[in-house]
Amino acid sequence: MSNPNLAEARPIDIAAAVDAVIALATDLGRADFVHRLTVAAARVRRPATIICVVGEFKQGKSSLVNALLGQAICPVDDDIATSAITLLRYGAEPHIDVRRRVDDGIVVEQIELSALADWVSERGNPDNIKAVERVDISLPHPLLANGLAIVDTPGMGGLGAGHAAATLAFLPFADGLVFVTDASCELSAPEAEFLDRACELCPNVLFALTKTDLYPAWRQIAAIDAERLRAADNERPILPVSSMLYGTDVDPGDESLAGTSGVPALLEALDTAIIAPAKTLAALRAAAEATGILDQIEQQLRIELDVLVDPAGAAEIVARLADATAHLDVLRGPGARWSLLVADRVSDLSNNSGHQFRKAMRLVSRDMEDAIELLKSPEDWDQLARRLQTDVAGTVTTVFVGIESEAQAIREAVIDLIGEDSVDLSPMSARRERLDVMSIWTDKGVDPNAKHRGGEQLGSALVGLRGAQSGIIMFGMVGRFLPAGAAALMMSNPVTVGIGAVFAGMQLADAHKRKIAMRRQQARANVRQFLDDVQFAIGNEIGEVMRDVQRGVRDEFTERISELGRTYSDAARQAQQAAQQGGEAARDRIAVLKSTLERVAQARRTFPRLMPS
Amino acid sequence: MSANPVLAVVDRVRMVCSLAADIVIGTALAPQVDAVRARLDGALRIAIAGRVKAGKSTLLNALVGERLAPTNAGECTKVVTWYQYGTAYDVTAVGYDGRSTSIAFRRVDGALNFDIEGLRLEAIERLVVSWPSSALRDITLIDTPGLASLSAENSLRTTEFLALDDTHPSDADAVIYLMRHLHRRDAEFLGSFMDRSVAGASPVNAVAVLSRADEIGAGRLDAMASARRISERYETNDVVRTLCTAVAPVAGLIAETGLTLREDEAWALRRLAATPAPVLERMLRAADAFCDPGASELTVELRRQLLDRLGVFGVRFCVAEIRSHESATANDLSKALVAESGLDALRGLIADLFLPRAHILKARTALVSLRSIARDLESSDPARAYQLAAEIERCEASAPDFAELRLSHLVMSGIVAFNEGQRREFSVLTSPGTGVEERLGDDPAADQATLRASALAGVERWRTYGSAPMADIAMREACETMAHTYESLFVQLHEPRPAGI
Ligand SMILES: Nc1nc2c(ncn2[C@@H]2O[C@H](COP(=O)(O)OP(=O)(O)OP(=O)(O)O)[C@@H](O)[C@H]2O)c(=O)[nH]1
Ligand SMILES: Nc1nc2c(ncn2[C@@H]2O[C@H](COP(=O)(O)OP(=O)(O)O)[C@@H](O)[C@H]2O)c(=O)[nH]1
Ligand SMILES: [Mg+2]
Ligand SMILES: [Mg+2]
Repeated sequence: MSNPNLAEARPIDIAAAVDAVIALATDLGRADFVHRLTVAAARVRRPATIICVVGEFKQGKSSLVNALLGQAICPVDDDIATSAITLLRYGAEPHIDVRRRVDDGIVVEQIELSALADWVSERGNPDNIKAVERVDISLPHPLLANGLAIVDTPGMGGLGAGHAAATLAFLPFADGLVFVTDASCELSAPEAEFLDRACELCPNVLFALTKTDLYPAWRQIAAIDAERLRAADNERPILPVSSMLYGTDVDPGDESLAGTSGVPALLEALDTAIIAPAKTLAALRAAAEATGILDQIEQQLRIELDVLVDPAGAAEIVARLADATAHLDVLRGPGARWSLLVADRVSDLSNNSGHQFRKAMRLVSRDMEDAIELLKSPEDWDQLARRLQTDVAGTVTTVFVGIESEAQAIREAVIDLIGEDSVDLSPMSARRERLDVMSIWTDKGVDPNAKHRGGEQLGSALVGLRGAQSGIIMFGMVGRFLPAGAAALMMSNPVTVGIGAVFAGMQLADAHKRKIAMRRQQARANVRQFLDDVQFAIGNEIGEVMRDVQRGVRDEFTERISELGRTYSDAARQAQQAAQQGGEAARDRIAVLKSTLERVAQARRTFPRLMPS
Repeated sequence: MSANPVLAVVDRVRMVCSLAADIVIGTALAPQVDAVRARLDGALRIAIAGRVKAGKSTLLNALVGERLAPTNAGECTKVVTWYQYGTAYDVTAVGYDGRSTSIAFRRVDGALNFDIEGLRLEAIERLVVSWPSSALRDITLIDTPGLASLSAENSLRTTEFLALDDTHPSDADAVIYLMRHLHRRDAEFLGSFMDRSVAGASPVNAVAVLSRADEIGAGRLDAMASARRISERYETNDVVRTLCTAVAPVAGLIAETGLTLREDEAWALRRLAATPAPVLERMLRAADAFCDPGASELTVELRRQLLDRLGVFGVRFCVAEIRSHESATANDLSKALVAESGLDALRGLIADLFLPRAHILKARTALVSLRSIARDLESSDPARAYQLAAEIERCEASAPDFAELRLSHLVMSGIVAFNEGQRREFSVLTSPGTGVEERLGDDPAADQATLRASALAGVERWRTYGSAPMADIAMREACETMAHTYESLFVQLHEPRPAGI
């Protein structure tokens, strides 16, 4: 059987088809199926996709986010504005949560939209002194209703700096990126470098050239930038936009001006490059789930039908079903092999990740200590501080990427193990196709997008990461490395705050030996403090993620096994009833079953074939 | 200061030059020494540096008051270009091999268009434009290619020129650093430039300009107010304070066009202002809408030119100006544009901070050059090289001006942490170009006895600060220099004052 064809799978059709299966499951009283399918259908309509809006500061990122929404949400200012990461996503009611780091924990506070600037802007929260890790904004907005989550980021000062590295580290978790640069001048060297790296890490990078209303020469700038992209073998469309001409403060009468704003084209690009593929992927997953459920329903119906047609076989079928149910009970129990496997592998993973992380951090720390010994000038220190940030960010990403891909591996191992344990589990009579137990694990093998996602360098390890839980966690981490608009004041990271000042204005070569030694000492202490903080925070996060992984895998499999158990027991009950029926009632029942089976067949035809049979 | 009985600093440096000239006579280093000597008598060299497209060439034109340096939205200045005073119009290319070649040039819309086709760009160290402009009498302006330029080569040229590595002396005595917003890179760059000089890293010879200031407020009419607020914030920032003395917001394009506005342009602007309000409003919303063929009777070509010359903000500003003052002539508009541009504040900084210190700044860069010559000499003639180096050392140590410069450096770059009161006293005492009474913080009408008492009290006070147990070496040095400066004022007060002061 050929693989599903992406182009043929239309998310809208699939969502409707899933709805039909939901109706069927409702009629059959299978609330468990209804629940699972409802979630899957919702995901088709609103797949979680994360898009980050990044760029050097004051390029018009927040204005662009506002223009995309057609609503002035993010604070905009002539001076440095955004100081904390802002995540905008769908919610039925407007709602804002501020996540703050207080002592060792996170405090979540609800705020009003009018108070937003007190938390995310440089004015209300200079240098992010309020330690805002992230602000979550939920809005009932049609764009977000598509599943899009937009992230407005603090502008980066010098894209070569450490927080740029931290942002890059986050990219494997984002579905897309809008790179923002204004039309005042061509790409600077640091911007160009950042863009090149970002394109390697994230398959969907949109290039927005902003403020076209203000710069008469924007076409020339666009041409120069395009040439630069071509030269770097990184050709992509440049989307000229003017946020001013679109959205909040445009007078509604002047459609033609808003039309030249370029914002509609950007929205369309977002849709084709990011939202649509995400919907397709979700649709394929949903189709796989629905088909699996149809299999179960069909088997159950056929068993009853068989017994009605040939009541003599009832005893044998009921016995086999009882066997299978018993087997499932074992599988569901705490002593099941798969359950032990999950426990073992998660604890291994937990140990390994922790170990690997500590080891990597020790390396970073040692490397830093050596480098501090060699510090000659304040500039050296700056470089060192940046390297420190980059290294730490890289280490953290590696850990989470590792956890995500191992979690996936664990799921697959469980599926294989259950498959092994269930070879002769089929309750079916010889005349029928066997119910493939494996078909209840719909996800395995369904990653039709694999070749489209993930940068070449990262390979397949990252496939499936995007939109994953740890993606959101990474936001938090980046939030701590992305030290807000502080960049503008050169206090661009927690380390320089302490040490840049220590070395500022000092010519190490001239100064007194003792003093240098003292400052080095201070520098070392600051580095250690920073690494300790990171270690502590990340250590906690790893623990949390690990618990999530274990709980997630366990719940998922237990639920599926229960579903199957219910299918068997329903089938057994109905077979027994059927065996006692006769005459008129049996004929009626046969008619009902046949028409329901017809509904199943019809529903099945609406899905593309997903799995090799 | 010049009333100091000891030799003026320039003369001392000149003496070192003579010594150096004797030593290197007949060698390849001789022309270099001549150049150093000539430089002492020449204009103060101010480099205009900053990121690509920060508006350096445009600002240079504004300072000269003429469209000389070519400007463009794409990268344009490729070679370090000097604009210096000359009686005749002349452009010369100086190669890395030291050879000069005369360059043909044309003026396109006023801007110079150099014909360097025949020359290898990599071989040119700099272009020298001699121009009989009165604005260039006291200062030579040096245009540089952008830093963080995409073409790494151009950046390299700038860093090379500004001598960011220790081995080369800098060609500039002072620098105007342009930044669009204070950017990490900008700060790094400022810091590096400050690093080399006699006195070490120093904000004493740098001012920063928040450039293209009209764009900061997105071209709104209140844009310049926004830019002023932002530069004030930068100015009070501790880190910025260690790097430069002041931050001035300037819209170079507005200044340049203001100083060169033509009657026909003013006429076009008046026609524009007479456009019916709703149409005009729409035109001013965006550059593309402004050039919409049907929107105005002015030709699209003409409108493009206006945008080129004024930018969106400039056009908006002129229209508002004409509307509020009925009949605005080219002259009126010129004045209004220049006043709005913030150029005067920058000129003020140059006049107050650089020019009064010109001799010492030049002397300082001259010493760095001499030191590099001494180093070059080391391999061939170690004994004389040592002699020269020692003489340079002595010169530097004995001139009170250098001590004062070094003091300024120590305080302004934050190496020495004066408290707020001490800092205020320091800036009053060392502010260049002011009289003794002001420097002592006294009433201009105060009598000699009061002034002498103030000076003596100053000496006492700073000796005490300097001997505090917490004071480190740099602090002790700074306090000592403060005390010395009071002392020299005291000495001056004892001498009969020349008439007219
Ligand atoms: N003319 C014009 N100005 C714009 C446009 N977009 C943004 N601006 C202006 O550019 C400035 C910066 O806009 P922001 O949206 O705050 O930029 P940002 O990138 O989010 O800035 P930070 O968060 O500080 O990094 C503001 O003065 C905006 O008014 C545009 O399309 N046209
Ligand atoms: N709006 C506006 N544009 C400016 C200003 N200064 C320079 N520009 C424009 O910015 C571009 C680059 O200027 P230029 O002086 O060549 O920059 P350089 O590379 O730093 O020398 C040109 O298109 C100028 O017209 C200004 O003050 N306001
Ligand atoms: Mg912002
Ligand atoms: Mg230029």
